[in-house]
Amino acid sequence: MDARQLAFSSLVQSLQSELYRFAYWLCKNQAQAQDILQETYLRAWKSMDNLRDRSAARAWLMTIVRREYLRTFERKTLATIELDELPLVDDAMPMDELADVARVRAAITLLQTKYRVPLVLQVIGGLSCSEIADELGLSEAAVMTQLFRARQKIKLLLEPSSAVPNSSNVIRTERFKNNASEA
Amino acid sequence: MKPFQFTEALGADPKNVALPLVARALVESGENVDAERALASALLLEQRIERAFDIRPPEFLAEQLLAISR
Repeated sequence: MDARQLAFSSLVQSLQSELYRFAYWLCKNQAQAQDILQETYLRAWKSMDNLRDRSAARAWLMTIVRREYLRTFERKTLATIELDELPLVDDAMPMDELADVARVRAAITLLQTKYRVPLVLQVIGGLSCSEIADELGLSEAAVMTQLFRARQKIKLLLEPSSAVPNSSNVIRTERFKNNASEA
Repeated sequence: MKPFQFTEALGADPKNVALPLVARALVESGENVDAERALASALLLEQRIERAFDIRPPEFLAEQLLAISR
């Protein structure tokens, strides 16, 4: 393995989980998230020589992910919600916590794109308000408002009387499938 | 600090806001007697959101990506 391959391998090992999460929560589809990552790393491999500052790799790759998502979105590829197929965070997590994770995920997927994208950029991408504003071409005040409203909406959706489906059946099914595949 | 500013600060950029300082300022200011409860609730929501976002990529993905350089 040459130095270029080693550098690329390091980018894959260190960032692919985070980039996958980022891509998934942008498009809400596992297959599409995998495609976005393939394309992102392909572009990264082709133009790796332009990346002189390795510490900027994360931001660089996140920008490629987001551009690739926009390109996919502009092609109007069907984005489906497939919460029941999402891998569990922790198979040993108590049932009530798993149900809560599923409920919050369902609430996040119900957010409009204009609220979900800044939230994803902030929580997963770790971007500041001004960075999100630059990335989305919005004012900082607009980003602050969207982030505030995103959380308010999630909070409302998580209230017992809300329309977010009770996901405990999904969790049971998923756990059963996991146990069955391990057996 | 008014409750609205408090929630806006949380919504704006929780990673960059010194939450304990905000909470203390709120409690000391006496403007919001429920400040501690509001902070606890906001922090809990942040934890729930972060946990919900935390999904694993499929195991084969890393191998597929590494194959790009071969």
